[in-house]
Amino acid sequence: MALSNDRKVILVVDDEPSILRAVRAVLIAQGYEVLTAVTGDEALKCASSSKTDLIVLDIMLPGDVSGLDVCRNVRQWSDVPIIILSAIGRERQKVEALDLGADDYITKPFGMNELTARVRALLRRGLVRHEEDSNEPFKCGDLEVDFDRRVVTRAGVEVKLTPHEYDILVYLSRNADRVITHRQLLSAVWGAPYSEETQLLRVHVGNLRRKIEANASIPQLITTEPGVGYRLRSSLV
Amino acid sequence: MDALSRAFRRDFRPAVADHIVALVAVGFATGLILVGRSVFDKGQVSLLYLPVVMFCGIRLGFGSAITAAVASFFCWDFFFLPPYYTLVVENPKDWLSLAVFLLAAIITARLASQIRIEAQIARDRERETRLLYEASEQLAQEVNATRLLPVLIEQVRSICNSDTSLVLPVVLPTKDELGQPIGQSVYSEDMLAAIRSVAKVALERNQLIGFGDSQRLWQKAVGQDEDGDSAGSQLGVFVPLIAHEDRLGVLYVGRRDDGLPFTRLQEQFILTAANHAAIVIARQELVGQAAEARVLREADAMKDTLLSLVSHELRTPLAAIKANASGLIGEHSYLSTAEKIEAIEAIDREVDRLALFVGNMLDLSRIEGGMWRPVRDWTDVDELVGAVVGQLPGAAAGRIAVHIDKEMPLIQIDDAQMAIVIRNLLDNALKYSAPDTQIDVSLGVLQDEDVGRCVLISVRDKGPTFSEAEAEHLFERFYRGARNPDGIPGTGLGLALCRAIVEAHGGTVGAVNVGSPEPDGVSFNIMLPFLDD
Repeated sequence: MALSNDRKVILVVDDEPSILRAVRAVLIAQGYEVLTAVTGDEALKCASSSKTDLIVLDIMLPGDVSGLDVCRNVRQWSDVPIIILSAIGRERQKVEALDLGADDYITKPFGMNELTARVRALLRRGLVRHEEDSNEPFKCGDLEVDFDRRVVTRAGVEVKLTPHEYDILVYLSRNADRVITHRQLLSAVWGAPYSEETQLLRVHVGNLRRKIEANASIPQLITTEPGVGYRLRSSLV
Repeated sequence: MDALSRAFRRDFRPAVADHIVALVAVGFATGLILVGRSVFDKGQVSLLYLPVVMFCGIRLGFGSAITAAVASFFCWDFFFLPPYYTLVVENPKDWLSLAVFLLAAIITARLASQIRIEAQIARDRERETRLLYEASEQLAQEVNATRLLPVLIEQVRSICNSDTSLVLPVVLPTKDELGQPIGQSVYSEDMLAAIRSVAKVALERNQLIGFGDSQRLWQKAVGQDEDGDSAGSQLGVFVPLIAHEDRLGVLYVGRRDDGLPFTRLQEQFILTAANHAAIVIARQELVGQAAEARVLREADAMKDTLLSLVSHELRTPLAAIKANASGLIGEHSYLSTAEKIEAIEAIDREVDRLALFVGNMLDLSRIEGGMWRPVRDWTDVDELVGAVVGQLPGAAAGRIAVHIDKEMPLIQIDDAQMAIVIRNLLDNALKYSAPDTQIDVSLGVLQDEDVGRCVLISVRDKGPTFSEAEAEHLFERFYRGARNPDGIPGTGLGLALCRAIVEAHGGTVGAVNVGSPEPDGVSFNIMLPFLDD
């Protein structure tokens, strides 16, 4: 039992047995402990009764409890990372799930490499999040954000940011590797009344990119997920 | 002979002038005969009066002929029966002559005016026939009801001496309501509304309103009856247009400008015109139905083609997957490790191909079915292109150069949908051009004649050009052009999807050969209009 304490527990929820089986096999091979559920009800029971470190959740579940319901319910008592599995082209659904507190999404059909990469990134971030209060500087590539001194540097040179640009960067770096919807970012930086002012966000993110990206036209740090939101990468691949 | 007797009645009271002409004619004849009184026998004189009566009957009608007959009677007695210049008759036999003369004169008057009336009817008939012929000639030449009906209506209006004539067609497909009236009208909106409501009654009851007896009735009791019939009669004549028991509309003819009822001939003409109008409208409908049927047939044929193409696109990767997967299991385990890996990679590749095809197919049908309308939000096209390029593998992204108009304004589009468009255009350019050539993406703002102020996104590659004939088909689904000589894999749906998305945004997408002096590549151009313009 001592060993199982070290192993991360992942709950996989999908109504398609062959997908469950494939995902389970790969995650176990990667050294995780895997729980599975095929309905929303089962998923909620499973998540509340045992310690889970991450949930992979299909959004289209049969029965009364949808994936969105599971997401909403779990968020009331836990901040366990949630990865949504969603069909192609359902951007609104993804945004809804992310707004409800999901951390990331993967579009079906997906490759196992993609899934395991997302799982690793979110679990890593889960570790970091516990140390948030320490205000450890955020580093990615040649970019560094020093939260204590409120200074942003690129390759050691200070970058002058407006207060809003700085707030955007801080919020994204506190949530590095997560997809942040426009609504979340607008609410966090400008306040809830501005949550629909996408125009505002586009302009400020554009300006921020010109200051911190090597090539603002093809950004590497702050990436755009069309129809969904933004993501700040914690490491450049 | 109903028309004849009615015409008699109408003829019976000619204008005063006609009587005066009759009297003058008799007087003139009397004067002439007086000159030769010595030559003529008194009996012959009576015969000389009959042509005068006949003349009056033929030229002026029964009434003036009778006047002429009576006047001749007295003139003969006064001037030619002894004793002269009195109405007294000397010889009792002359009384008999006088009586016979009066009878003869009256019969002459009657026969002559009958000839006149028959001639008049014949002339009217001829005129009616001519007008009908003209109308039917136009009918035969003109297939289009929207052009023919106004002509027909104008004919009715002028023949019936009416100030307005209209056709109120039913509105398809329910045929419960009457649509906008066809024809020139001098009436106010209130009047038109009244006409419309009476017309609706006429159509619902399938009943002529304002015709024949009811037309005369209203003249007697104008405005005293609130019943639809008489109210309608005051407005004019309403004829329901019926063909094959199908209600098509109502022909309305306003009252005669002299306030008199329509003549029999006018009524007949109105009925004939109504029949023509019904035929014209029915034919128009049939032409429309034929066109619709043709479109449906073509759609059916297209669906068949589509189905065979779709099943081919689905079956090919499925067969490959099945072949490879079944090779990996069971007794085929004699495959070497390298071969197994190869098979697995093939499966992975074919699944990607299948997923792309199904995804494109679903997106396309969702957009074309109106189930995936663009959700517009402010978007930075520059940022969007960057995001799409960023998702490409490094080698591919390295070939793409983005050129931006310094001041790119934000535009309201569905960025998720537009990302699909840009992704497809970039994939196309990457596939069809040589691996060492550059792909230029240009963003700008321009004023287009058709689209208005818009954002232009163009993707230019150095791949093979296309012919003019191909240009029309490039954006059709499953069209794989001559640009594809080497069997470059693709779903044949990418460009169709692009076009569907761009058009859902009110924009246009097109392709042109570019390069000078000789075209050395293709540029795909998207124009997206600004909503506020």
